[in-house]
Amino acid sequence: MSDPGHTPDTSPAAKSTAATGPGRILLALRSSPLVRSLRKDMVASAAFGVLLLLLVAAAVPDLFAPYQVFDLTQIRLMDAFRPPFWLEGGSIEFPFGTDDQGRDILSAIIYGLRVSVTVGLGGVALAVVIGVTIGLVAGYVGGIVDSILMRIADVQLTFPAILIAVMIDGVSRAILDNAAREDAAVVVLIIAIGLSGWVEYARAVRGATMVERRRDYVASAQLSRVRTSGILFNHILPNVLTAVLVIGTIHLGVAILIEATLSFVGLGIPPTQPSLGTLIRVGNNYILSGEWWIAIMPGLALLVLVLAINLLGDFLRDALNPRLK
Amino acid sequence: MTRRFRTLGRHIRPKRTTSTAVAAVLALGVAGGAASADTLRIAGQGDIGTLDPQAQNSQITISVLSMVYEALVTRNEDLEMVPALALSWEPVDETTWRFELRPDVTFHDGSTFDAEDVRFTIERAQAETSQFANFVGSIASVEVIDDLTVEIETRMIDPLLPDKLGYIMIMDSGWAEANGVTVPQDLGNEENTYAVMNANGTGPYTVAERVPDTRTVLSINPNYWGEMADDIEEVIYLPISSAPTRISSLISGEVDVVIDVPPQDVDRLANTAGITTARSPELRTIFFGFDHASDTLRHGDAGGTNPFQDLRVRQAVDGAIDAETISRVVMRGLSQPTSQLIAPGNFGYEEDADVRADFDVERSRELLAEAGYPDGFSVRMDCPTDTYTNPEQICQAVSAMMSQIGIDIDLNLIPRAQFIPLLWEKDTSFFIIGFNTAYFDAMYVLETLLMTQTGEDGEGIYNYSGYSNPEFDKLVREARVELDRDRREQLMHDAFAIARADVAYAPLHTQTLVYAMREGVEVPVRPDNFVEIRWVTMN
Repeated sequence: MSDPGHTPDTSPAAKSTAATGPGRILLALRSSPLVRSLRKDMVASAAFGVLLLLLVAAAVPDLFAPYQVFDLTQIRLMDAFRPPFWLEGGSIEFPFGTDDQGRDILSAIIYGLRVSVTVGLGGVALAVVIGVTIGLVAGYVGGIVDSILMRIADVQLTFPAILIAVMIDGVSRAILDNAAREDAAVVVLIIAIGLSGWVEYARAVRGATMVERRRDYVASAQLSRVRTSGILFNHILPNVLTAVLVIGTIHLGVAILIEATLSFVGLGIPPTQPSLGTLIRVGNNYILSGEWWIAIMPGLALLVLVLAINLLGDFLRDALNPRLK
Repeated sequence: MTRRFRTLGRHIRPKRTTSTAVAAVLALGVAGGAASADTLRIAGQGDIGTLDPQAQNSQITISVLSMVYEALVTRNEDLEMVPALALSWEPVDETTWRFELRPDVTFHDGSTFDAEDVRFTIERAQAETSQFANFVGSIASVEVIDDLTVEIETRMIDPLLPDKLGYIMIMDSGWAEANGVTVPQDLGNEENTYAVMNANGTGPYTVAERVPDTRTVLSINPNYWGEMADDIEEVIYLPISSAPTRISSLISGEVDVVIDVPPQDVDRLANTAGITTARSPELRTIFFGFDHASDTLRHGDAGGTNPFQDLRVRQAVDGAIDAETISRVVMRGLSQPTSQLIAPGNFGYEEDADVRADFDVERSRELLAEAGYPDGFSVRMDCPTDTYTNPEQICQAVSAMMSQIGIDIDLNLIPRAQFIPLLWEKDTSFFIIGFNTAYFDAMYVLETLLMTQTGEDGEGIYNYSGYSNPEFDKLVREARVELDRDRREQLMHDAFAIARADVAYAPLHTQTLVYAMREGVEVPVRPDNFVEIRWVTMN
């Protein structure tokens, strides 16, 4: 990986999947020194392990959560406000204690993790699609198209992500009734995060594209009359994806925090299907009265999740940046 | 009249947690009288809905508006009726009351208060868009005898008429005509009128600024006729929906009074230096309502039927609510489980009847099965988040309890501003509501909440559930013209027994009101939850 750019015929793996773009990158990653440097980096490998665990828990919460928190029949108000097991009055039955309704907080966190990660990944995916497309077009076509797209990006940058998310939330409030909005809350948040986060991708991809389009392989593709979309997505895209991967990882942490912030202020996920942010909001009602664990436990989970993502993002940035080698 | 309020008098005096400090401050306030340039900032969870005094009968709205507008009568510290804009009143014959009005009272814009304003306001309160139609429902006509005398003719004997008029806040007829607000705002259809954002009353405060959902700023009326315990120059009402934010604002000194302290924060505030708390049982009952009227469930799925039309289903719901646990866990003991629709302290409350049926999930399941819903059904529950005490937590807890008997609740948590129109349009199948007895007499609940809604005289005006039982209506009609106090009480007890047997509603509990204020501020807690600004002192 001395050159993250165009490496058309150095690896046999790459040769065999020459035309399948992203697949080639994944294979390259596997056989690359990346995994080796991950093993060497204790912090990054710990972060990777923790993140993997959290993602698996989020993917199949039923396997990890002791209780089905959305099954109201399992909730007993009598169990409410139990402290975590290490405090007096707590029991291992509810390791992190229970909330104001008697829900097991550990289970609520695991299910909340799923909502948070879904929104985060969805938002990042949308931002990647928008940002990469705009970046490729702007960087490849150049000229007036580039100017217009980048000015739009500049304007977009002047709005903080939260503001855009609040705006989209407001629009959804105006057009959807309360019940429909609750059902659509996840989608609304994904759109909000996606629309507010694409600029960085667009800029990075545009820069990389402008470099790539002057390379010989692009010229030869142009000469063999490959369609422009083919050149963009099959030839240039694979070579700018490392940048996208690094930005995407950092962005995932940001996206999860935006979701948590919006849910905390009551603009995000409703308490019936709580995300980590919603759980913290509910717990916030009991901070003053001493039942701190209702807010702090989901808060810690959020902290661990975002920290793991950010550490991994830092590692990827360093490992994939040739200038640091 | 006096006797029935005597018991109330005991409740009204707040239990002070740091009584010496408050007493000292109170003494200072009374002795010193004049305070310097000062502002009292009151925080509550929901905003007032309008400035129109006949558009929304909702506690926080009328509580704040009572600082700006006044009625003919008011209440003293023992909750006894005392003169306000009327100096005196007496029955002339069986169906006529004569009111002598207070001379030399002016509205905020300088125009003089007179009998014409009384006639105008009563007729305004009878309009279709008025939410106060019941209070003036018995009135046939209002005759202006002279500038300061009116005679009110009722269609039937109405011994409670002066009590009811305590809720009719008098507007200036000239101002209303000049500004095109001779009928109340139609709140259900979100109508906007001049009176929604502007006010012109006779009360101790004028509206200086109104920013909905943000703040309502009142400034003192220098020409106020009445007596005040203090002369606080500015009163600001601030809606702060988040309870921890509201409490933190008090602790950090951003507000002076919080009028709805959640039970979980009471201990913490009582132990905070510089903060005092005061409490009183509220004359309000919290209960759940069903849609009795629709043939199919409006919001939910029960296979094309409306299960709530079946008595057994209502009994099942009633029996599956564990009020004791809600009181202990959600309310932390600051509530009293009840089976009644009126709270202790009201005339017509029957202590012997106030026994909840056993909490029995098995029995409830059987009842549902007998009614033909062995697998339950699904229904939406509408629940306001910024009124009453901990409604969100209560509704969640009851949703879980309903799931135990197979009723699948789709919980619709909405702000009060969206909730009230749902009730008003009867667009709800299952809801939580709190109701207090406006003039401390059960007749109010019987007439407005439980009688069949006829659209006339305000009968059943707040009967959002569509409950209707002719036998019940007959008893209420009998009771409301009964002059013998004991006989009237018995008739009301009988009527309540019918509604209880029908499970017209599923009662939950009565709440304890808790106010918290910074040291130096003294806001008495009235059991009807009116913030009586004339009694407030501040140092």
